[in-house]
Amino acid sequence: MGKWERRGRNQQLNKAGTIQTLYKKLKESKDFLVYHHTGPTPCVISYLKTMADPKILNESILPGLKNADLHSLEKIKEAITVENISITDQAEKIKEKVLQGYVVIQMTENDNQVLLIPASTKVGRKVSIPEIEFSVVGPKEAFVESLDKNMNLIRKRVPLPELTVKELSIGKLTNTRVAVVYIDGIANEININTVMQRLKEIDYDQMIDSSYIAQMIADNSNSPFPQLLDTERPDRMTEALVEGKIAILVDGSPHALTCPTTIVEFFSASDDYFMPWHLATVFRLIRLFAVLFSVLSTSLYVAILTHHHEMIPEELLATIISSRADIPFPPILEVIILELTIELLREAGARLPTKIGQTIGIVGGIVIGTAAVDAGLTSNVLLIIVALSALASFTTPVYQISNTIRLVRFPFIIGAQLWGLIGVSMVMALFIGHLIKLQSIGTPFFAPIYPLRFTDLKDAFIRLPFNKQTQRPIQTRPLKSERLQPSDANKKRDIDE
Amino acid sequence: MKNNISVMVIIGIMFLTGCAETYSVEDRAIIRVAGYDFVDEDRLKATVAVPQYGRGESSGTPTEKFQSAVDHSVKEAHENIQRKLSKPISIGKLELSLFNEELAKNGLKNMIDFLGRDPIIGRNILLSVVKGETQGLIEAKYSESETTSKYITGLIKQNINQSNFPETNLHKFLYAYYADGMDPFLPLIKRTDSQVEIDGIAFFDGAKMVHSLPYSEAFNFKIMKQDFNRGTKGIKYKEEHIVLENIGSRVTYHVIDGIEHPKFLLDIKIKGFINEVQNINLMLNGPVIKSMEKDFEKSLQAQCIEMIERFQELKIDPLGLGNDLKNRREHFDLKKWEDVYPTVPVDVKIDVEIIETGITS
Repeated sequence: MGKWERRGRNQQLNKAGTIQTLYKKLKESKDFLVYHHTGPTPCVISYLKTMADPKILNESILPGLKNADLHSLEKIKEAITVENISITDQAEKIKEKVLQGYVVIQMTENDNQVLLIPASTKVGRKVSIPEIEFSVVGPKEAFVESLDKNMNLIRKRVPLPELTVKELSIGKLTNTRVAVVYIDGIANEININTVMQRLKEIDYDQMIDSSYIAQMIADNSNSPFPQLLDTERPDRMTEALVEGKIAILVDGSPHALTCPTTIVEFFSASDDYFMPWHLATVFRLIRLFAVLFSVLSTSLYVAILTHHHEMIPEELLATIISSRADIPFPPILEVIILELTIELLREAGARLPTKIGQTIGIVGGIVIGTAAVDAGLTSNVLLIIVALSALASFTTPVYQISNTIRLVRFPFIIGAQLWGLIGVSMVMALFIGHLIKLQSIGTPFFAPIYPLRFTDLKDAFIRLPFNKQTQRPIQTRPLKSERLQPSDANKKRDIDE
Repeated sequence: MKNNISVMVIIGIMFLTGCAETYSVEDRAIIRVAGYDFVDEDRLKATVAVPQYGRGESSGTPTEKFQSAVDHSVKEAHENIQRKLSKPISIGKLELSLFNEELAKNGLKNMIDFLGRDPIIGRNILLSVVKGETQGLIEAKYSESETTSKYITGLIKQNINQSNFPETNLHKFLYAYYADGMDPFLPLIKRTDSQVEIDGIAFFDGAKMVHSLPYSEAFNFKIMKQDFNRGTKGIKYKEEHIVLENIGSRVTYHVIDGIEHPKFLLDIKIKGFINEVQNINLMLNGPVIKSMEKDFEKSLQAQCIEMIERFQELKIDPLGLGNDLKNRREHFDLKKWEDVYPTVPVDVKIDVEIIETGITS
């Protein structure tokens, strides 16, 4: 019931009424200017000072009005040398355009017929280098907040007429432009329809960032795992588009979403494609190991020290016991204290202004850690484990999944304390069960592993060379799955052949 | 509703597990070595070494505290030791269990049950029979840098891996004990003042120790028992004493004829090289080496057959011939096998190949 009421109020807010009511509303704002142009052609010019470009106003519009005898809007339209001028009397359209920075010209103030001259200017960042998904080699362009600039970055990489862009406006108050991009003929219709339908059904006031959409259209909003891959790299997005995936861009957000995605995609970096396949494979495996280590190491520490000390190798026993001897807490408290310290440092580091802040945070962590050991609050061994597992969680190439890893650790620690290794296995079983059930835009999220998509494994845990990647991943159900002729793949002809 | 029940169950389990007392690893008396001595017919004395680990940076070789107690059973004796300690005993990291010879001769039935039944005890721990008191052997200090348990474990392990002693651990002991037609054996160690050494092999009939061989015969037993790659054997060759270093020996058991009248053939192939030839002027050329091989084969074969005959007289089967027969021929009858075992013909065929004579010839 409350929802209906709210919707009614919003409609009121959006209702335009007549030009007069619109002007009355706008005049309450300081930056809305209405002035009477005198001279050979008297008329009323009004615009939002903060949105209109004064250059266009001064150099194109005002000189045009100097000509004498422009007694109708049609004549003025001809005199002004700006493209896309229109004449309208629809209050709704006028409102929309004025808010975008158009200049409005009326013959007299109470005239319903107006001339709309596009003069909007947009303030925004220039395209800069990617900071979150940085790679040493490879393209150094990152998305910015402007949707048009972002589309430019994509279009120049995929100069295809099949590259289709569908635009919607989402957010009842913000009317944010949202673009759905895909390559027609490769991307599967079903996926496109699913995305479009879910986007259309979004009913919310504001749409500040693409992460809003990621949470709203996710198949399971309660899952800690991100089900849409977000990227700030146009090259990574191109990679996804040519595999038959769908990208979602939001005006005002420097992060684009691609879907459908799978869990292994979150652990593959763009660097993996910029170096030889064997190196890429080794580094990707290291990254996967790092994730497992990061999730499991502290819980294994708790489980083994509390419940299964007979599993500790003899050589380690003396080290662990003598470093634990002075610690007043049981392993679980020790672990929770240290993990929370690391989380605190991370949060603090994320709020600090520059990247240097984060480094200081980590250094501070070591200092705090050393002091904690000297004070006898934590053991050396645990400090090493926690520091390594924090380090390991930084290796994930996608920021969203590293947040997930941060969180997922804690159920494991609790399970380890309660039931030892059985608890760790139980939590692991719960998470694997959850992952198997999870979907990304209706396709299985745990895909190359379960359901086992054997052909997709060539670019999952390992990355085979490009000439072995003869098929696009069948996970996305591309309409054309063949990438290259397997028979041609290995041919390297000499120039004289 | 279904969801609610599962949530309730999880919360219930979480609260219930909170009731269990847990001890972190540093709050336990971790026993690495335990020794059991014979007191009288139904009592035994248990001796344990509890390592005392240093604190903080000063970790190094832990010192050891020793405790012993007398009672009817192993568990009760441990319980008595428990009374003298500030921390709960933990036998999960036990790596060496010692029994004195007298106890072994009286039977280790309750020991075997105790070690075999507790899942917390690893299957690769070592067992050993001790000549004399185990208490004295455990409480003596043999090395500045190692604890007694580590020292003795190392002593046995390195002799298994690098030398003539056959493989043994709790798993192999239990297998031999429970298998039909097979009897276990253990290392026999001895302490002489500040020294401890492997004295030989102790052989069991079921749970009772009935026989022992000196360490000098361990090589012969090992080549019959298993494949191995290390070890040395010296023999007489034309009034000389020469040493054969084993590079690799392979043994195959052949069962000949049916279950009614089984015969066994142990086919042993040894590859080795010659070392310590006392007569330096001896030319180690083809014919000499051939005759050396022959001599080795002859003397090893005689020694092996003699050893098997001794086993047959004692009605023990540490080689597991009966077990081999059971695995290969149907209608195996343990009773019948035990009757015929002492008279079963066992032949040993040894094939020595000297593949190397070193760089001086």
